Amino acid sequence: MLPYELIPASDQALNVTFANQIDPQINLIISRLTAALQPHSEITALLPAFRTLTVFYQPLLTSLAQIKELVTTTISELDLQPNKQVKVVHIPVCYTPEFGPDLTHVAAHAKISVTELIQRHTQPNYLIYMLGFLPGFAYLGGLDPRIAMPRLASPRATIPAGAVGIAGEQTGMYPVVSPGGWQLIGRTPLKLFAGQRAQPLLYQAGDYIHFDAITPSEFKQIATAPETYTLQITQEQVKD
Amino acid sequence: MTLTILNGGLLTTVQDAGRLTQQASGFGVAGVMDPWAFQLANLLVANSPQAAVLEITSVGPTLQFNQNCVIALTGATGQASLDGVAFPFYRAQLVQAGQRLAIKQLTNGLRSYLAVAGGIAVPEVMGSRATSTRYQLGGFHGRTLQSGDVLPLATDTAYIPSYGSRQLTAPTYATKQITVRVTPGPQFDQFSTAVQQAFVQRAFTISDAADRMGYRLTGNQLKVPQTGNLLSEGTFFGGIQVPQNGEPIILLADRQTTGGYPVIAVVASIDLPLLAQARPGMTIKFTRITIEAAQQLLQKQQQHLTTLTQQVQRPSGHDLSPRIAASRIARLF
Repeated sequence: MLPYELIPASDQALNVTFANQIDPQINLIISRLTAALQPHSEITALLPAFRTLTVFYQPLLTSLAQIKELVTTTISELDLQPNKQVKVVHIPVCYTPEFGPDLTHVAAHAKISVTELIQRHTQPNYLIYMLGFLPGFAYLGGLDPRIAMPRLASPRATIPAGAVGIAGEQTGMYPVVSPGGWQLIGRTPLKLFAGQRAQPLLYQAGDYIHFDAITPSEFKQIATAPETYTLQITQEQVKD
Repeated sequence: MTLTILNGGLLTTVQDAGRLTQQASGFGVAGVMDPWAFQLANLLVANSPQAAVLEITSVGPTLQFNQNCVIALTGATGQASLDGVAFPFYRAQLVQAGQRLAIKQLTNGLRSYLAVAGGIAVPEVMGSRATSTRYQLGGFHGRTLQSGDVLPLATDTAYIPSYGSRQLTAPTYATKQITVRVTPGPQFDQFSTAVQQAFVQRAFTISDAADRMGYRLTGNQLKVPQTGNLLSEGTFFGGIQVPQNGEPIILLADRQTTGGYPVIAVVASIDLPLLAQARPGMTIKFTRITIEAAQQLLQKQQQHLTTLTQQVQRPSGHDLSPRIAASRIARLF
């Protein structure tokens, strides 16, 4: 088992905290721990993130000490066999300064051209480590560290739905309009979250995302006639 | 079994306890800003604690009841009238079909809760009737209420037991300064000792950037620990995060589920109502307590709630026992 800490986070929540890094093994432990803790009635909600699992509990039904003991025991009994095959969801993205106001800034920070930035961003299959922050906001692992970029010092008041950005060593997409501090490099014309759609989200935690660069005219075409666009999904073996 | 909104007021939404369990998909919790006033509103009209209510902000709505029902107003108090006659807060009241309730300016506190016996019966979305205006989801079409909206009610019963006992004392909310108890946040230890001390010694101001999502505080800038980029992790109702500009933000009901700024402290659940009822421009000070102390306060509050529950359920002079009622009816003939 990897080292972890139990950090009381509020009077109704306990954080199970692993090392501050994006790590598939940490992700696997957190996802299995989430499933194992689900049936306990004194636990009111579970919120998995990159390297933390927040365990919300009812303090009128249990104590901090009891929750700590439950988590410790459950972790020690986890089955940690990894998955063999994964789903890759392809997201078309238009990388231009119009759609990505921080595009040139991020390229300059990495000391590379915009073309190389796009190339590096569209190279990997990104693992969806967690959904959070907004409905269906996927936190993706696997960003090329050469294009990592700190968050904005002061968050933007409004970021449009579909915006694609970078924050630290993370990359992600905004499914709905929101304030936020990510550096924006492009935008997808897809409606990533639609509450009225049969499946509100196009992907789930554990899937992979691949970004495909598209032109502004392709963006316009998909945005104006989304029903004619077929989402590309592939199955791939896990390489390791 | 409906009520009609004649004037939506400043910001009136359908709320309940929110969507705590949907956070893993990135859906915000939403729900009421003042969980205590919400509980009391439902208690006064003999609802289950989870029943959906209207959350009213600063200037209330005008609404018409389309059948007899029992209602109660808690939280912030101010001017309210039923067909032009002053209407009491913190008291279960029978209203008749066709009567109009006008809630004007709230002067003591900021947010009121209107409970209707049986509850507001908008459809559940992902396990809750709470409105999330950010995601246009839940409540009444995912938005604030407007003139002409017709809200479904769960029952048409105009009877509740111990009707005459169903009243409570309205609190007096602070107008200039609040002192809020906090427990250390998950990143508390990463802030320098000087910042940890400054946080509880200095006073902050609730800025105009204050809504259901969070309150941005001004007046002091806290030095943020330079520990590199923190990976996004779960947020909390009352979590106080400090972004790079050093001005703390208290995350509230419409907060996002995860965030990447270090959290210095979390408001003790017992004091969340103080925030919900505070207005921009007010001074806020923090005082530190332990998690165990915060949990004991919740237990005490639960005992207090039990006492209040017994109090409002006492048989009252306004209730006739079935035997006396029968004898009085018999005398009429």
